[in-house]
Amino acid sequence: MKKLTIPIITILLAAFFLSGCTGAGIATSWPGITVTEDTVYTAYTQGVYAVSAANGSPLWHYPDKAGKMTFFAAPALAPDDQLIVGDYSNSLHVIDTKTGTGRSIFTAEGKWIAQPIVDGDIIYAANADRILYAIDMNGNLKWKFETGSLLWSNPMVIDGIVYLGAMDHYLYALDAKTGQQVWKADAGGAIIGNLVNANGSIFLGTMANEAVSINKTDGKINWRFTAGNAVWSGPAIKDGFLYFGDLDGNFYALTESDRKLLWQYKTDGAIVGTPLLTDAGIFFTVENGNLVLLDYTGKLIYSKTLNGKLYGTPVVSGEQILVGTTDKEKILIALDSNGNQVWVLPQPK
Amino acid sequence: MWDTFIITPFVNALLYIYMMVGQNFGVAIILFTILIRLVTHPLTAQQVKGTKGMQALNSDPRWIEAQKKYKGDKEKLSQEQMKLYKELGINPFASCLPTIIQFPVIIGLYQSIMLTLASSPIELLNLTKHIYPGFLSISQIIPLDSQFLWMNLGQPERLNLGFLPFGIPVLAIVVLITTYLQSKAMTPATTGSKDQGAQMSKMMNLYMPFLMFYLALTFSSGLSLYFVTSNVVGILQYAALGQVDFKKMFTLPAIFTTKK
Repeated sequence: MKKLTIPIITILLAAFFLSGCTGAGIATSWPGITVTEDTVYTAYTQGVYAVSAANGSPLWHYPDKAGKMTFFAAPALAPDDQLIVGDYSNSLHVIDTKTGTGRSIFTAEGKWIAQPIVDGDIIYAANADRILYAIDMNGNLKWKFETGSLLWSNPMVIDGIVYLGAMDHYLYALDAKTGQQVWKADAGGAIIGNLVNANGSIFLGTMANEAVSINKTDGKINWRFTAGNAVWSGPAIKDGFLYFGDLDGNFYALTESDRKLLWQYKTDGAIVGTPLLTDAGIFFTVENGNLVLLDYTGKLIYSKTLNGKLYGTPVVSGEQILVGTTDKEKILIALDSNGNQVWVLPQPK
Repeated sequence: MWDTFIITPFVNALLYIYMMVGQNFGVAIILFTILIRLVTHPLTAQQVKGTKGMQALNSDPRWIEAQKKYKGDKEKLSQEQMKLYKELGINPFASCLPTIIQFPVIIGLYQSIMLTLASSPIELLNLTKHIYPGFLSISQIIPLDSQFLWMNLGQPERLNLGFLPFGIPVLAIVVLITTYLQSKAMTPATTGSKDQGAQMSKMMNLYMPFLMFYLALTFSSGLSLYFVTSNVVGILQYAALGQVDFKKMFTLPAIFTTKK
């Protein structure tokens, strides 16, 4: 036995070291949040959690036992009190919102990073295996469409057309019933963030440091605006103005029609999430842990430092603002309009 | 510090090669691993030299005699060992020091490959922070094409054949074989099977390939590709240094050949 001690210790150390180097156990994403009137659903690390929107008290979590599934994108609300959520183990799940029971209905070849969308009784789910799947609620494949690269951006369905941003630099418009391509437009860089639909155009950000406006009907580029760094987040639009941030920490306000820069605000960290536009002002998260609130002239109202790195989009729930965090202790923080903490959803022990 | 001097330069070099070879990440991993092994070759040569010196000591009749003579006197045996080191011109650190120096480089290479194979949002954000602005264009690099032959380098590898209901982990098997061959090539000839060091080496030779097989089976195939390239280049390096007995290298370990 003594002879075996050193080799065994060496091998265990090597295994531990190599496992550590691969990042196993380290957060690879941030919480995705979906809200209804009285419930908040969040998908993060090893589960989907349902909590009361009023006070954050836990209602259920899925699955019962923590596994290696690692959820990320916000669950999609579906008819008949169902949630659709994909995991990093390539499975797409349907969960009963009342009981928290669920099942895997479909498996792809890659991770589910994009949030699926439900239109009627069809789920449109983009996978990192480059394919957009259209499936029914029982997991039966209706059609699929293969792009040239990873799909991390959420698909969007408008008037029977599925709009899909891909890392192959293209925005695709597909017939929602058949999956046939209507047009595709070269955005000039990988599309990772959300798409926004407004006034006959699709707006998006690219890793080629640009915000781009594309005509929804024919895929022609309306305009491009060059930012200081990659525009990971999709923009948010209100009253003819476009708001977004870049990975250098710059936050921009442009005119939606002709990309005229109104104002710019500089932060000290990467801006990854899409901003949230409310009556109180513009909320956005910064990687350095700050939740920033600006008024619509670009003037700072407050910057609240929260624990952990912040990447996601803030979400409104009643009078509260919900922020997902990568903090070791917390998953969600609910704040009032003044930035005071109301409740938190702690990390499961 | 580690990021600035090891990871970031490695990531940029790896991605530079990736762009140079037509955005083929598999070829980039192979070339970069070879490059690093070549740059650190003088250290490998020094390590082999040190190992050979230790082999000479182990087979020296004076050392064998001293081991018998001072069996119960560790202090005296140690003095005798130091005396023989001087006489035979052996530096006892010559075999382990290069390994210690190489270790961070190899780990850095490994971490760089894992970082570059970013397959989740935070990993990709981390990667963008490691790219030198002006040297490489993020918009050209992303998306990184992680497809190589039949493999997605960001996923564990399986070769799916139509007539089989399961995928074959080809690369993991190659990792197992090449790790075993490399460890055989690295293991010096020993004076006797009862020697504790020899016993330990035999155990390592047996267990290490299975550990590497498990890692290759579980982690991204990009990492397995690095393991295979590193093992093959390692064997070639030892061969070039006259360290490899190919006949002995391809014999199975005693555990598989000894009849009970």
